[in-house]
Amino acid sequence: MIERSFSSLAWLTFKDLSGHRTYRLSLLAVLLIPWFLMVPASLFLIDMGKVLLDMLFTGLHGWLFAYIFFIATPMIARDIELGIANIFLTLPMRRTTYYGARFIGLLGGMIPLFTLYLLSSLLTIFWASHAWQGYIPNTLWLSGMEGMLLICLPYISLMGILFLIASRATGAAEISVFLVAVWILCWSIPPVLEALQHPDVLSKTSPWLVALLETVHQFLPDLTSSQISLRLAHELPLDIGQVLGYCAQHLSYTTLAWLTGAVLFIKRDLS
Amino acid sequence: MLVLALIIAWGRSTQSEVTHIMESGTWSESSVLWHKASAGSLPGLGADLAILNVFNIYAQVTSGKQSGETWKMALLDKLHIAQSLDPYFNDTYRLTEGLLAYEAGKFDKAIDILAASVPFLHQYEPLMVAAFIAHQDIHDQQLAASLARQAAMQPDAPPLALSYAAKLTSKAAGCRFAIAFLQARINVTPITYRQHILNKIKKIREGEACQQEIADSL
Amino acid sequence: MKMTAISINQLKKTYRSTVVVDQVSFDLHHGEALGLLGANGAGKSTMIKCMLGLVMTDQGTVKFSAQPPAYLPENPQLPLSLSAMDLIQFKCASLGMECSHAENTLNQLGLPPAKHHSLLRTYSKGMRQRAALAFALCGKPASILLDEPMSGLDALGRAEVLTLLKQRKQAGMACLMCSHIVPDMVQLCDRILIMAHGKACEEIVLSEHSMQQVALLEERLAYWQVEALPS
Repeated sequence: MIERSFSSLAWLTFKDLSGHRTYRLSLLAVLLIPWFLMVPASLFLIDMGKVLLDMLFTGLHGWLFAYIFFIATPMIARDIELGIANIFLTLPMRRTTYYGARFIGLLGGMIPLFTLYLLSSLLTIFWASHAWQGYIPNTLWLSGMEGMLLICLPYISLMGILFLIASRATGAAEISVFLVAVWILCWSIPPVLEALQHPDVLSKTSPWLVALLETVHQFLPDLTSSQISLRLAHELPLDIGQVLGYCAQHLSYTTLAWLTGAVLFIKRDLS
Repeated sequence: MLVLALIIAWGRSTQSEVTHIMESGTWSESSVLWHKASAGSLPGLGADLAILNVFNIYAQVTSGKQSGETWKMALLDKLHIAQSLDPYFNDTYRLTEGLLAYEAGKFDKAIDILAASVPFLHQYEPLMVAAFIAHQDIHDQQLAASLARQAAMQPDAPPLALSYAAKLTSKAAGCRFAIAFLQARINVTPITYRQHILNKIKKIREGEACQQEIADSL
Repeated sequence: MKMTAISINQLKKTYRSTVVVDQVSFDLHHGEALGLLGANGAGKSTMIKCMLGLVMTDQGTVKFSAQPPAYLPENPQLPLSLSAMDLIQFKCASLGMECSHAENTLNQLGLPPAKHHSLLRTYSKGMRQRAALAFALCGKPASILLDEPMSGLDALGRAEVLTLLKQRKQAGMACLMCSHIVPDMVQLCDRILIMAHGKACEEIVLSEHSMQQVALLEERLAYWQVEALPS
């Protein structure tokens, strides 16, 4: 049974989020963004559906990034830096309950944003397929929906990492620096490793650097999801094994990051 | 307020127009790898931006702001980037045909890009265009015939592609090779198209040049 | 005989090589108020955090007779996108308690009804302090730990807070108040524990709330500041 204090704090977190002006503006922005993205998509020749999906996926990456960096990070940083967490922990509340409820509350905050963005994107696709007949396949909305659901997973992992960092960090600056560093590494290491498979590049790179990159990569989640979104944008079928592997790795990574963070958080001093 | 707004407008008007947006650097496999690294999760968007740059280059060329070889290299560079980031993107191949081949005159490079589409698109069209360019513009009949045969082997190839491949093959390697190619296609072609292939074989066999070739070989 | 609400035994906390709380022991009974008096850096706040489990202790035990105490931190930081009533309802929901007296507590602390449902970002500093105290007091805790509870309050606010705390104390709540402002402590506390350099140096029982007592405490505080210096 879920603890009463867990559900109460998760709900309070969501309520707190919805009270922020940034969050309310984000709700409005995600409704409008897909319609604006039709403008660049209309510039292309044949694959306008593909370009529209590229734009919609990019928009999703953009607001998910913004949510984690500009809404979730400040909230968790304030909790630790200013001692808001102490108010909840002295109710009394177990640290794992606080840590879990905040995590679920912040993930829950993504749901209204995602739902609105998805609905607005689907409407955009339907409208575009009507307006650009012959250029947008009728089943594009299905790929779009699938892609958007899959793109969310790496950001859930990133949320897990945010909590892992916050479990030991002392404030906003520390959390932001480490999270940005992780994000940059997650973004750039997989393509660099891909490049290193090229014999020319490999011959010019020192072996210790390759080993270092491989090691770092093993500790970080694969945030790219690039091949999946590329195939979906072209309505190419996805290998079910690949999709399951992708989902499993992100959900496992999130759980692992959360659990590690919870263990560290239990043992830390809160000022 | 109005004065300040006017000053801003004046300040902007004094800025020179950007005309050197094109990089003159040449494409290389390693440069594409860095483009992939910087595109991260968004290779599709990277390809879209490269194609937008192609439009931009073309707009500058048609307005007379660019001339010489630089823009051709930049065009090639952008098309290579677009293809390597998103090899499924049809616009890349359409622009390769329209701009790189017929506007910039880079026929051999255009053929390279179009031929590289095979493992991704499995469409006959880019190969057919490549075959046509090889035949018509660089007059390499062997290459044209080879590309046309590849085009005819794609799942969406219509009877026209087969005819064209047979014709080019006949011209480049002789009618016996063309007939052998068509016979090989019979079993993998939908039944509705088979009669068309048989007619084509018959037509080639009956041709004066082919009869001469068969006679010579005997 | 009064029941023990909080019992602290040999509590010790060290940050690297610095001893911040040095084997402090005391008992606090229901219906009693104990003041922790000490200069800045004496270890008062750290000790309260150790008692609440916010800071890990190196040694010693902390026992509560009933549920763990409520807590009012120094300069309480609250989620500003929520209202005072949101917070109180959350606490009641978390603890599974009825909070029918929440409105009354907020009124008693000088928060007008019109403000109960306003976002905390619209509150002044003093009003936030009162909202935090109301949050701590709701659910009728058996004991409360107050870390500089009067900071940010005007004279009227101090009086209102003291009145409410006295009422709760009479109803059996145990109060542990830490401060470096002697007159405030004298008004509420029955006993004062002077802390200096992490040590509990002296306990003084207050017989009356007078200016002489204030003077005495200030004198003892100054004495222990010098006397308890680590060798």
